Formats: sequence, structure tokens, C-alpha cells
Amino acid sequence: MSGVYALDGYVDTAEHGDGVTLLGGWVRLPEAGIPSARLRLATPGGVNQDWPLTRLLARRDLPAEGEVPAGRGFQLLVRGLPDWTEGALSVVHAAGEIPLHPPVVNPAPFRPRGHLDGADGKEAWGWLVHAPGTEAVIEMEGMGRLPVRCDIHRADLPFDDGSPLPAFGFHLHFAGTALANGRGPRRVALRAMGVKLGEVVVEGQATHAASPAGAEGGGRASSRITGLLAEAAPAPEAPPAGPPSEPPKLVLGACRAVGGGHLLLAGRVEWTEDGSEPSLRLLPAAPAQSLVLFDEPDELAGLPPGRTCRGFLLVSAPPGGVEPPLLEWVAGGQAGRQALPGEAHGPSPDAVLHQAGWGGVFHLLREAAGGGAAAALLAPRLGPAGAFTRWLAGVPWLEPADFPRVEAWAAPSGECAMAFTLDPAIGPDTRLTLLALLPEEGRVRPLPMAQSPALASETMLLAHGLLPQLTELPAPPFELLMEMRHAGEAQWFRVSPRTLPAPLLLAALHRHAALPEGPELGDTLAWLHDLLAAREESFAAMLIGAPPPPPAARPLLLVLHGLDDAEAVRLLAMAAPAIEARADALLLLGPREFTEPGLEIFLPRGRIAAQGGAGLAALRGPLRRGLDVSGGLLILDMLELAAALERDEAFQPRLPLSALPLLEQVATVAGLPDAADAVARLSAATGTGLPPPGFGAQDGAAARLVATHLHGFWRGLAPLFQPEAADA
Amino acid sequence: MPEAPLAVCIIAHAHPAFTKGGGEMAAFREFTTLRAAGHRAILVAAAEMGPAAPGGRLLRHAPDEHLYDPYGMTEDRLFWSDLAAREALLALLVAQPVQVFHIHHLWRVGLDLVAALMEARPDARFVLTLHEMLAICAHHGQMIRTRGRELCHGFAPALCANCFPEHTPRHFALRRATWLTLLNRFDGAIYPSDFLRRRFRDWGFAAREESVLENFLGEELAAAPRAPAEPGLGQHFAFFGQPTPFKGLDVLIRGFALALAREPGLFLSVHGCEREEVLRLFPALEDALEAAGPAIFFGGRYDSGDVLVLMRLSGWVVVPSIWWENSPVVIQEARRAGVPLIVSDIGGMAEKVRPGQDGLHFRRGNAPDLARVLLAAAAPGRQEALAASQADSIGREEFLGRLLPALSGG
Repeated sequence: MSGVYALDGYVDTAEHGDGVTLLGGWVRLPEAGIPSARLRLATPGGVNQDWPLTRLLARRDLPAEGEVPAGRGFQLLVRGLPDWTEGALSVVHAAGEIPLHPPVVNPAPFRPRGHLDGADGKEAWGWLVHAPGTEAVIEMEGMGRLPVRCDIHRADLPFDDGSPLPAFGFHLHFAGTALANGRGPRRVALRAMGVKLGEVVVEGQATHAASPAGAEGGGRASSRITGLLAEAAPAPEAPPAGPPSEPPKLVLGACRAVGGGHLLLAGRVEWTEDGSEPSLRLLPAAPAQSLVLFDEPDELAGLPPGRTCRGFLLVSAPPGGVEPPLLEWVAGGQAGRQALPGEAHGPSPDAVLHQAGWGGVFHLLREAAGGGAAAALLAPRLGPAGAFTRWLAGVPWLEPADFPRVEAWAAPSGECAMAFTLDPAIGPDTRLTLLALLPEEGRVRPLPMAQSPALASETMLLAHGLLPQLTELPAPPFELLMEMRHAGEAQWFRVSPRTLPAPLLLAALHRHAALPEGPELGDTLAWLHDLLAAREESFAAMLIGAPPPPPAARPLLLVLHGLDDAEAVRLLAMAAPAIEARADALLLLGPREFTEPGLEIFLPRGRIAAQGGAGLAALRGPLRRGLDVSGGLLILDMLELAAALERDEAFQPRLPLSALPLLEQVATVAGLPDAADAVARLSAATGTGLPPPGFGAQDGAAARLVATHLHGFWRGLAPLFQPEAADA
Repeated sequence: MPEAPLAVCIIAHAHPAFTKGGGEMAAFREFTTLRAAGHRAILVAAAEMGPAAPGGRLLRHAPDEHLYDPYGMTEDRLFWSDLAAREALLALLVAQPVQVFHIHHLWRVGLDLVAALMEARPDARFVLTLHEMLAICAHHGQMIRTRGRELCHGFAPALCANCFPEHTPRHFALRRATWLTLLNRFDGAIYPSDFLRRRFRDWGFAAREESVLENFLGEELAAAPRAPAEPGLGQHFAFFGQPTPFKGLDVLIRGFALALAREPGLFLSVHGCEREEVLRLFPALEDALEAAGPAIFFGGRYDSGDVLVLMRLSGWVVVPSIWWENSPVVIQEARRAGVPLIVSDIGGMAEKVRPGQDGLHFRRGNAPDLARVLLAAAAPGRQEALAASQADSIGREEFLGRLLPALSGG
């Protein structure tokens, strides 16, 4: 770019406390710098840390002015920073560093942000930015509180936490609460750290059908749950004083030591029914705990009228202090405390989980997968899936007959999708929750799926999820564990999804949506649009990076694709001496029936290294064999080869060898499991090859939407290998 | 002519001792002519010699004449599937004490064999005579559409895939690239007709050195005196060749029957096949043959040494092929015999027969037009006039004078 302009940026938010830091502001930086932009904090105390800025959003109040680029805003929530009181912020990118003003930033105490977007008789929804472990609840006027768990990604929010799909949204179901039964108050509020962030007056909640309090059992078709997952939170406020009632009762069935000094406690709380949920915690306060509540139908049946009970599973980190730990519970507006009976009370941890309500165990596993205190239950000494091993073995496999129609797919991109036809019709309480189970060195690693909002028609439900914590692509084949809440019941299954390449998984989704019982086209397109936007955002970090230096002329790896015809092998035979004179290594990509005869030509001659393959793994071969990564890459279709041999200049490397690992990742997300297809797309994207292959027939707007989305990844890949473009 | 004798290894797809196609005849005649001229010529030719021989079979057929078995080749006879057989043949070729390898046809020789030979003998020159268009056209090199008999006027992958629906256009583009990659490594190319040279140029091949050189008919035919035309044969036409679908014998018989109806004195001799063979291939000709009755004579097979005598028994030799005919030996023989020609107006036929000097043209595949030309040819004095102006075939000295520079690059 010609000319010089002042780059500038400002910090308008700096807050720190309760283990989180919120940094917000704006920066003017060139378009080419956006993909590589990172926020840097340096403090006199020695903090010197960078975070990628993957959500730099345009700001209308900071338009471009001549050559001065437009300002872009950011709001980054960072966890785990040590306390700091003074620091300097800057934005670094491929072409330099932009100090942000003011030069010295003193963070204010962190305050939560959020909004209660809506509530009705059965649900409440909104968003919340808060510090994990601090109070965050939905208050139901006079009826108690529900902890808020943010697990929905919302593209409309500017906040970022560095994860592929920042989840600041929530959508709570009131199943099992008095509010859901139509007896609740008319006001619902969102409160975090003592601050009321929003309130909704619920109208007509009495007209909502009441959900019967179901019994939870172990049967595959009749299991029901009304349990809710609670985050570690201080003891809830006592509800307003009412008539005196029988005190709550705690039955502690088990107290067992698990990994890392953590304790697993199981039992139930009985109290006079008042529409509230009980709360439990260890004292002295432990730094982290996981608590799940679930119905105990057998116990409930034996209680006198007006009394209710809930089962609980509590995993807590070792309590601090030297005092013997106490278990504190609050239920029905009354609290109680009990000393623990030692660390070997009751059944073993796996037996505890095996006997507990499935909904509780499912959500405890989800908590464990998310890295909460319950992760201690995954200790290898307790089994391949920790203490969950026995319970998991008892969860039935999903079979076609379990629903009127059910399909499940998974992709190496770490995505999964499911399509259901349900009977009876889908209601507001219908909800699918997914958890991935990854095989890992003989163990089972549970990982939470980040689920986009499901698409539903009267009877069809389409769900999509991805593994936000995945660090390596392609993902190994994984199983799913699902919870389906529908028509007042809940069911749990293990699912062995059919593995599809990512484009085919997306195609399967929209093709199911097009079935007669599927949603309206407009709904499908809107849903797909949001899903693809979230997907793009999720994988965007993959395409962030500084352009590599221009490739060295040697060693030169010649990658030949389009080896899909016997004539192509014959062409190789004719061109072998010329190839050997120009390249140091050869990678033949195509079906084995053609690459093997191709290798038969080169390997006996032994003049250059030659490898072949069809799948994306073939792209790893040359670097694994020790080819110098500073070398160059020349990708040619077999048809281009003949022409290139006639012009020496056509044999110059056009891409760095370092393109190969990234290429495999992009192909995993936006291509087929076909190395030849991947290099053809890269070649086309970087303007050095034939036009890019398509993504099959586009027989409708949905297919076009998906194809455009997928092509976008390949277009996004190109600038990473075009230093000129990056410099500009 | 070079000062020193040249040592040339001629590689041919067949040997005339086994088959007598135009290509192998040309290769063999070159072999004998070079030897007779004092050069060292070695012939290595393909020939089926008994049951299949895994690993290859090589045989010394005569001094400086070697035979190899092509059984170890792929089905299309363009590459070798039995690498041991290829290596054995390669070893034989590499060892030949020659400066030049002159290859007639790559079919039954192998593109991969020639590529390997080029690598093994970087000291030698490689010259290729392109007798036909197999490189351009997968339909036996004939450039006739597979469905119907339309002529194909140029290479286009989409058209090729239309002829062979089991393959994609890409297959044919790759096929062309394969051929071109090898052809471009030759030092020189020889074409028996300018028509062929133009076809290869249009296809994208321009050899570093190229020459148009008609095949030599051989010492025996070249030495035969060119007798003046027999008088009174202007109404006597003759056909020489096999009754294949592309030779146009059906067109000739239909055209002749039409002409005969107008001019009862006409006569047609068919050499190279019997009436029954013709009817097996063209059953619909039965009525035309019946109508012609004794005016059509089937002479059956003939010895190539008798061809000039047989031709001189007729006033005209008709070459009615419906395909391009790159450089038909029959035309050379007729010119050698001094018998004017009536030919289809396409390809090598149109090039080799100058209308009004060497013979007459008719519209390819058009029996009524052929009838018109036959009637015109039968007019008194027409045959004698053209026989007088017709050019002779290439002679030995001219052939050698142009062949040797093409081989040596001089």
C-alpha cells in the first residue's frame, strides 16, 4: 500500500476480578492484518501474553477515512490471568504492532454483563458475561432460583473468549419446577454477582400445559429426568418467610474419595415442596464443585403429601482449611449442615453412578467433560471412562426403531449431526443434548459438543454440534452420548454415527430438512445460514497466521493429482526422466489402482523419493520422510504436467511445503477425504491451477449456501500463501 | 548422401514374412534398400511366433534381422505389461551398433520401450515414420467416427468421448499428452504424405526435423519398366484391396452398377477378395451384383509381385475408400504401372492423385457421383490422356537421397 497513515486504537474496557479479565476497545488496522491480529497485554508484574482476536467487528462510528482503515471493535474475556493493576495493551499483526491508548491501563473490578431476552412459563433465555464460579441465577419471583449455565453461542454478541464458538447465551428450561407447573410468580429476573441484569414479566404462564413430574428409572424407553445442572454457587438466598414447615432432611448415601483428593457425595434431599430447588456445598468452601440434581421417583412415592425429594451427585475439590469438612444444604428455605462420614462411605464411585438417575449421571459426565470438578471422576485408575465406565456400558445403543426416524452423522472435522422424526409432535420442552466420546489411547475422553440451536418442524428435529475443544484435525472417529427430552420424558443412548466428510454431513442435514415432514424452506435457510456462520467462525482461527516466507527453489516436491486414469499412468511413464530432472520428491495423489503403477515407475529407478496415496493422510508423507520444510511445492494436475515439462519456468515452486499440514486441516473442514481433491482446491484457490472442483450438484438454495460456505474456506486459505497480498 | 555409410536399426511393428501391411512393407523395403546401398541396416520386427512366452521371445531371423514376440504387451499393444519381455528386447536394441534408430509405428513396439531406449542410448538419433494417425485417434487411427461413418476432421477430447462413451474427455486429453511427451523426444519425423504431416501439426505436434517422404515400393517394382497404356481399356476399371468397411468397395459396386445401366460396355475387376466375402460384409449389394452380372469379375487374392501386371490389364484403378487413406500403396503401384486413378476426394488419396494429371476425383462415399466420374472416364481418349500425364512413384535414388538426411540429420 502506498502512503503512510496513523494507525491507532483505544482501550475502553479493562476489568479484572473473580478470575476473569475483560478487555474491550477498538483498533484501526489494515485488512491484511486482520487474520493475524492478536491482543497483547504486558504488565510490570511480568504478564506478557497474546490472544488471537478472531472477532474483530466493524464499528459504524469508526469508518475508514481515505487511506486510514476503519476501526474494529473487540471485547475479549480472558480467564486465569494473575491479578494485575497496571498494564499496556497493543494489537500485533503480521506487519507490526499497534499500541493502544491510553498507554497505561488500570483495570477496574470486573462486573458482569447480560440481558434477559425473554421468559415464559417454561423457559428463560438471554446472555451473560460473568466470572465462572460466581453467582449467576434466574430468579423466579417468590419461587426460588435456577443457576444459569451459558452454553449457547450467539453470533450477535461482540464478546469473545478465544474459543471457536464463544458461548455467552443461555436458554433454561423450568422443567420440574413450580413455575413450569403453572403455579409460579409472574416475574423472572437475571442476576449475577448481586446485580440484577434483566427482568421479564411472564404473561399467561398459567395457560401453559403443566409438565407432570415424572419418575426417573433405568429403562431405555421410559426413563425420565427433570434434573438440572447446577454450577458451583454460593448458597441461595432464603425465600421470603412463609408458614413453618417440616425441616428438610438429607440422606447421604455415599461419600467417596476420587482422583486428586476430590470427594464424590451422593444422596437425596427431602423437603416440603415449595417450588425451589435444593442447593448443596462443602464447607469450608471448596474452590470448585459440580452438583447435579435428579428425580428419585421411588423415594418420592414413599413420601407423605406435600413433601418432595431430589437426588444429588456432588463432586467437590478438597475443601480448604483444617476443620473437618461439612456438607451444607439449603432446601425449602431452610438450611442444614452435616459432618462427612469419612471418605469410604457407601458404594464405590462407579456403583454410585450406576445406581444414580441417568439424567444426573449424564449431566455430571457433561460437567466432567467440560473440565469441572467432576473431571476427577475420569481418573484412569477408575476405568477407561473413569467412574463412568460401568454406567456408560449400561447405556443402550441407539437403534433405528428407537424413533420413527433417526440418523446420526459425524465428520472428521469434529462435527456431528442428527436428524429425528418424533412422535408425538415436538414441543417447547423437546431438547437434544450431545456429548462426544473420543477414543484416546485405550481410554474414553468425553468432550462437550457445542450445539447450534436445533431446527425443528412439527415432527422433525435437526441438530448440529461440534467439538470446540478439539486441537487437532482430523478428529478420530467418535461416538456420541445423547439425551433426548421430549414429551415429558428423557432418553439416553450411545450413538455410533455414520462417518461422512464434512460437506456431506452438511448436505445430509439440508437434504433431511427438505423431506416432506421437514421445516419450511425459509426456516431451513435461515437456520442453515446461522449454522454456517457459526461454523465459519468456529474454524476461522485455522486460517489465521502470518504468510510464510517465499519457498526455496529446492528441495522441490512435485505433487501430481488427477492420477485417475490409466492414461495418466502412461503419461507418467513417458515423463519420468523429465520429472526426475526437475523435482527432488514426488507425491502421487489418486486412487491406489493408479498411484501404485505410478510408483512402480519411479521406485525401481530410485532417482527421487516418491510416495503416493489417496486420503488426506498422504499429505503428511513427504514431511514425515524428512523433506526440508523450507522447500517448495509445485502442484500440477496430470494434464498440466505435460505442458509444464515444456517450460522450465513452469517448474518453479509456487507454494511452501509448510502448506501441507494446513491443507489437510482445511480439507477436513471444507473438503473431501481426498488428497487429490484438496491439492486441486488449493491450487485453484492460489490461482495456480485449474478452476476449483465443485461440491456436487446444487439442486437448491440450501446446497448453494453450503457450497458457497465451503468455497469460502479455500478462498481464505489463499492469502496465507501469497506474501504479496499480505504485504499489501 | 553422407560420406560414411550409415548404421540404422529399423524397428517395425511387423515383418512382411508374416503380414504384408503397408507399414511393414515400407520398413522392410527401407531395410533392403539401405543394405543394397552399402549402409548397415538392422531390422528388428514384431512377429507372433507360437504360444505365449512369458519373459519374451527373441529370434534371429536372418543376418541383421531379429524378431520379437509382442505377446507381453498390453491389450492395445502400445505398452508392455511383461516388463521382463520389454527388458529383453531393450537389451537387444541397446546393443545394436547403430547411430540411428528408425521406428515405423509405435503400435506393437511400445511407447515405454522407445522411451527406455532413448534413455539408454542418448548417443543415438531417433527418427519416427508416422504411417498413420493412431496417436491422434483411438479408433485405430482412422479418424472416422465410431457411430456412423462420418469423417473426423480434428482431435477434440469431447468428440473422442462421444466416440468412446466409456471414457471421459479427460482420458483423451491425457492420451494426447502421453503421445506428445514421447513424440517430442524424437529427433525427426517422416510422413509418407503431406496430409499426415498437416494432421499432426493440427493436433499439436511439430517435430524438430520433419520431412514428407513417400514410401519406396522396393527394388523389384522400382526396376520394372513403365509400359505405355494398353489401348482400348478406358471402360475397364479395377479395384485392389481387402473388402473392409472403410475401403469403399460397396460404394464402387453401387456406383459401377449405376454407370453400367447407362453404359453397358463397362467392366469392373475386383482383386483381393471373392464375391462371397463381399456379400458377407455387404449383404445389401446382392441386387447390384446380380444386376451387373458378368460385368463384375472377382479375381480373388493376388501376389504382390503380380500387381503391376494385373493393374495393366485395366484402364483405371479405383480407390474409393471412405476414410482418409494416409498414403495408399495401391496409388503408388498404379502410378508405377502407369494406370490412371479414380479416387475419393479426401486425405492421402486427394493429395497423391492430382485431378486431371494422375487421375480423377469423386465425392467420397457418393455412388452417383462415382458413376458420373466412371462414365466420364470411359469417354474415348480420356484414359490415354491421363496415362500420359500421370507421375511415376518415387524412385530409388530420390528415396535414398531424401531418406538418408532425414535419418542422419544432415
